Amino acid sequence: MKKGKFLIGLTLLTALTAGCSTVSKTEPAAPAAGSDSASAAPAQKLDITIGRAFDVNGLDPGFLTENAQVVDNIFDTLVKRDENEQLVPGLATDWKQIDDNTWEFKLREGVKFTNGEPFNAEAVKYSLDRVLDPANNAPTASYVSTIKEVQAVDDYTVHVVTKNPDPLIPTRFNRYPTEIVPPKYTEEAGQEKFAQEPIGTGPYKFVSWDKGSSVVLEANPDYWGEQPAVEKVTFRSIPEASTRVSALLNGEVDIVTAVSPEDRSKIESSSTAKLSAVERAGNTVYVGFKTDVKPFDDPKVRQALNYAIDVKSIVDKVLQGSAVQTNSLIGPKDFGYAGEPDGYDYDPEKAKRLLAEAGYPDGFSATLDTVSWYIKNTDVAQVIAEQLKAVGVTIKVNNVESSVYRTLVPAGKQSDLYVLGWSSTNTLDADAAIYAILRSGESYSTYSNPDVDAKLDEARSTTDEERRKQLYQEIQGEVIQDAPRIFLYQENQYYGVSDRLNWEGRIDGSIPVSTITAGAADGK
Amino acid sequence: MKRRSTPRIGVKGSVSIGALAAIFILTVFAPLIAPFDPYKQSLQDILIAPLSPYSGSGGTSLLGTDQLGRDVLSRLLYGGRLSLWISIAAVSISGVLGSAIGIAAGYFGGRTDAVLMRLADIQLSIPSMLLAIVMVAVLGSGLTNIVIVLAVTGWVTFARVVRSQVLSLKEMEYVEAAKAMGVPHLTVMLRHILPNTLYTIATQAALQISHMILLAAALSFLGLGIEVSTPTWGGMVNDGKSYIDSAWWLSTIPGLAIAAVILSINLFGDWLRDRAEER
Repeated sequence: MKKGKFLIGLTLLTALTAGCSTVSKTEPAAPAAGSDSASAAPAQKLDITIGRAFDVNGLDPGFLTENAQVVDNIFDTLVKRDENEQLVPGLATDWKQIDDNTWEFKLREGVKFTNGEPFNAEAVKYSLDRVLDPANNAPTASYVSTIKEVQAVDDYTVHVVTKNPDPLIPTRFNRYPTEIVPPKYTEEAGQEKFAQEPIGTGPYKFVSWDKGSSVVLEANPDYWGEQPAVEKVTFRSIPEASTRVSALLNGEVDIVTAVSPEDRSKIESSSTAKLSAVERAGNTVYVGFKTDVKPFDDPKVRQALNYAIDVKSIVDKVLQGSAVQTNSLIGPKDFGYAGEPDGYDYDPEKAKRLLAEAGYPDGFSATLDTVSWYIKNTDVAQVIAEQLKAVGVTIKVNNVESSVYRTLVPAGKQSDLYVLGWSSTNTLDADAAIYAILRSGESYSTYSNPDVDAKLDEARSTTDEERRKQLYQEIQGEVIQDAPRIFLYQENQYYGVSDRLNWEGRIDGSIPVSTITAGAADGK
Repeated sequence: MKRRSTPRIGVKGSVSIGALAAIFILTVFAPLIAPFDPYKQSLQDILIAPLSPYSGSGGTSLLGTDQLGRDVLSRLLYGGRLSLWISIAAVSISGVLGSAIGIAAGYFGGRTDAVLMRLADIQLSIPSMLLAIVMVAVLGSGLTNIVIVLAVTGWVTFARVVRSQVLSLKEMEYVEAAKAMGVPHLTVMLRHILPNTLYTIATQAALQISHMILLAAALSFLGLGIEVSTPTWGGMVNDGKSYIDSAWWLSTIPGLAIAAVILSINLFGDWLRDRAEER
């Protein structure tokens, strides 16, 4: 406990020295360093800088504690996604399910790691085994926990055996922690050194990492795919959002991530950069109820609070349109999305009536926990508090420090009302979007409904796509009715891109540098 | 004490006392003066510039509105009340505690003095901002905790200043006489030593109040202060930081308020010290 508190203090200090960075929650971003869309024979080699909100913590894809925006350019996955987010061959050329619990991957031949080690079935097995080994305690092991073992059948054939039928295996082999690492070098270097000097098969190879500040990568001349247009890329950490935008506008950096709503117009009106908006690429943000705690154990109370919130004006006025109001649990690009379901209209009178029916005619008091991970979250929480006050519910807004919240929520120690956002990020599947936050017993879930549990479990172990879609639609309907959360909105993501480049933000949040090409303004 | 000097207040004194009085009246009577409820949001009137009319109800917003349409002037007044209250409470606690420790250390000397002063040295070696941040991280935020944190960071200054004065006071004849007559230590300290250190303590307190206002503002600027919707000057500066290009008044106005209060308190403290030296 003492150690915990000390750590909190320490993390806090680090955060302070690093400036006030905004860390976005959920399953971090994506792999897919697609070689596929790099335009043919670029006339000129580019040297670019990308400004992000934070530096990497380590560069070992098997042991990431953040998104894979940087490492996905150094490593390849067996499966990749094209710009339409369809699964396409990566280090595997072909894959199929050969029985209920086994998937077969045919591997690409003749690929070498940048240190000369050959890529083969052994490398795949090694890469997965070290993540699955409980002794290694990999932070993202849960993404591949359905896998029982990986068998190297011959040099270029791999069998992935799962514990139960798992329809999502190809998707899982598209995202960290399934990047393929060179067995010999990884073993020799050890985990710590590998995280600092990684070697992969990807379109870029590692050059240097100035901790806390920047990572430099260079095009891999022996890459198995097409040569990218960008020769050299620097990922620079610029924690303050407005500083990031200034750096873009004065030409210091070429791409910036996480542009804040009030900075959007600055980029739009500039003559040197453009704004790339990716609608609903961010988290679906909601207010969770602890449904086993009075008064939130009563569905009427939960519905009443949904009726009491004017989500439209929050999205329009407070968020200035940087999010989209939705009742859907699942994002539009995710498998299982079934359009926008009807939810709760803004109707404070009805809310009061329901509260009275539930036995709270005079309302009650509660605490709402909020955190800086989402766009203007403390502002949103204050508006929610104000709107709930109108129906007699007194809310105390508690702004929890980021590192504290990171430990409170999975432990179930947050307040009875709490803000959380979730997304499927690079699996683009409903399972990742909702399982962890709705299934009873999951660490981020404060909801328990046996019927929903059963459907969630069935949906993740059936391979019949139609059946899965149907299950997710049923879950959706049931959850809206039961209201274990106040349905709010899904965030958009905004990137600023210099006119000398041609690139658009992606729905899965990845930045495959090999897809960046020279823009119209280059060379002037 | 007996020979009261002529009531010469001077420019420094009159300006600082006048300014402080004005600030006190404005903030203490904030509920009567503030034109609007500082918590009342109005999503139709987000980020109205100072001296612009409200859209719906009519009326003018003197200092503009913030990102949730709350009236900046009202929040400034309420926020000032809170800032002053916090710093006065913290200074009172640390002043009483620090002075008691200082008097005890100076009066008894020897081992007591050594232990207490080394303790003070240890705390002084840690920057007060750092100490405050770590304490808030451990104790959690909230009004009481902030006051405690500020009080803990403040006692050392009092203890050291008071102790050094007590060292010379205890050599005075009247103290020696009292001791010789068998007056108990506690009475000597309270009756003969404390009254003579009051001027020093008051001067210190004035300087400390400005220090505490800054520290409290810094804490709430970093999001470690009290509840988010509660107006505080530091919190307001923080809220406005991301709008500095589009809505200058959000950060600038509370920033100026902090500067003005600190300036007047420091002037006042300066004046108090001058008076103490005059005596």
